[in-house]
Amino acid sequence: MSGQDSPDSRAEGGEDPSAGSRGQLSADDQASASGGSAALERRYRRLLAWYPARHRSIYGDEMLGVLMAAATARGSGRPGVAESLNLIGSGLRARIGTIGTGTDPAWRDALAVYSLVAPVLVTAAIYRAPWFLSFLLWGRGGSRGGIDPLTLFHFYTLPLPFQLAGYAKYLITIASPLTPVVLGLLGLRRTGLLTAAVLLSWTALQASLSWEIQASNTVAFLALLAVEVVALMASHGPQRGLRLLTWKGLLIAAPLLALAVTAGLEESGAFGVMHLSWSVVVLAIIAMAATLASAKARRLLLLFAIPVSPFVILLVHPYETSAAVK
Amino acid sequence: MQEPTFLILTALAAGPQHGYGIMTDVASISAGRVRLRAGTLYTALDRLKSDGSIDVDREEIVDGRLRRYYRLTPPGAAILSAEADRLQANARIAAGRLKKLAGRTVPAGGPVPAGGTA
Repeated sequence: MSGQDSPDSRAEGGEDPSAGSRGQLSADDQASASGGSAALERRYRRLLAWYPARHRSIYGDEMLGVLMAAATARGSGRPGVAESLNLIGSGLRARIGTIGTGTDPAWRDALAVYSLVAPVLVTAAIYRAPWFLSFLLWGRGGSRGGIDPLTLFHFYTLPLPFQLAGYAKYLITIASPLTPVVLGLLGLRRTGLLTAAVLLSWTALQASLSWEIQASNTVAFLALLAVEVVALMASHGPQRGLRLLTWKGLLIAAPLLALAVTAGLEESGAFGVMHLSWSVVVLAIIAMAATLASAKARRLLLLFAIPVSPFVILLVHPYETSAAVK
Repeated sequence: MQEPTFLILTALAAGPQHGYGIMTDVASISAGRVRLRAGTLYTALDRLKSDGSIDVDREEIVDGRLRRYYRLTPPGAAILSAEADRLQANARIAAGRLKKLAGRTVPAGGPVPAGGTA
């Protein structure tokens, strides 16, 4: 009985401070307050844009009311710095939460497929041009040391141990992007995630040390790895991706991957090879996405658009590539 | 349970309140020590709602703006009660040990307090 009474009295009690100060403010200067409150509301709306749309549609209006009431109680015409940072932080956390906790299963599944496919594709695309990845993995020290995959095809003149070391290095170079996938398929998603993260930070460090590497490839590779890290973090990883893709997706992707690999055999110089391989890779992605449900497919394509975007920029703004390396 | 969560549930234990009401109530419960920001409050409300500790009681439109009232659910009340018990038990032990500590230090420093109080 008293429980029935108390809610209303509590609610009114909670309302009091805002009502009181609102009255004070309007008594002070009605015109400027209403003009200021429109501007303040705009500012708060902009801050609320940090939240994901789902969260905004549920809480947006209500939060705006709370923020306005709090600002009025403070007698302030603009969002506070700490308050703004808090909104931005909470908004970003809500966005990450949306990916991570799987409130959107379509995103989670798209990320799972990505975590499986992306490293395979990049390996297919670069395996004939190991110098690119070799640069990112071993830096310039390798070429000075004389056993660098860059010089792979000139090994024959070297003593056998050096040849073997060179081939081993070549294999490690080519296999490195695949490691997170293999670990993921073995049920070691977290270890795979760690590997991908280490690979990402290491190659990013190398790239930052040496921009002689063609920038679009480097940016694409780093972006691809970065999304891979997110994908391994926020989804169930390659195992789930394999289950989602089914034999249909694999059947369609396999010949395209084979094409991407063999495309490297054509004598068109390393850069031509890379771009041809990448374009076949893009085809493979689209074909594979077509086998998925449309919501997942759209998201998968969006994810791949991140690493592919440097090449689109390159198409729009071509530049002389021959001078960069080799 | 983190303190803001505890205080939000405590605020709602008094009855349904809207967002701004919770903010001011939490400030008064904690004697002004904890001031929730809107972002933190709604992150907590969203989480508490999805785990079933609180629920929407009713919605009102005030000055053309949506105002939602939240209430404590029975599972939420159980969680709050367990947390209150835990804090109480901790506090009791702390108080008991402090009393013992005071009892031990008084005889040890006997002459000084005796002189001081006399």
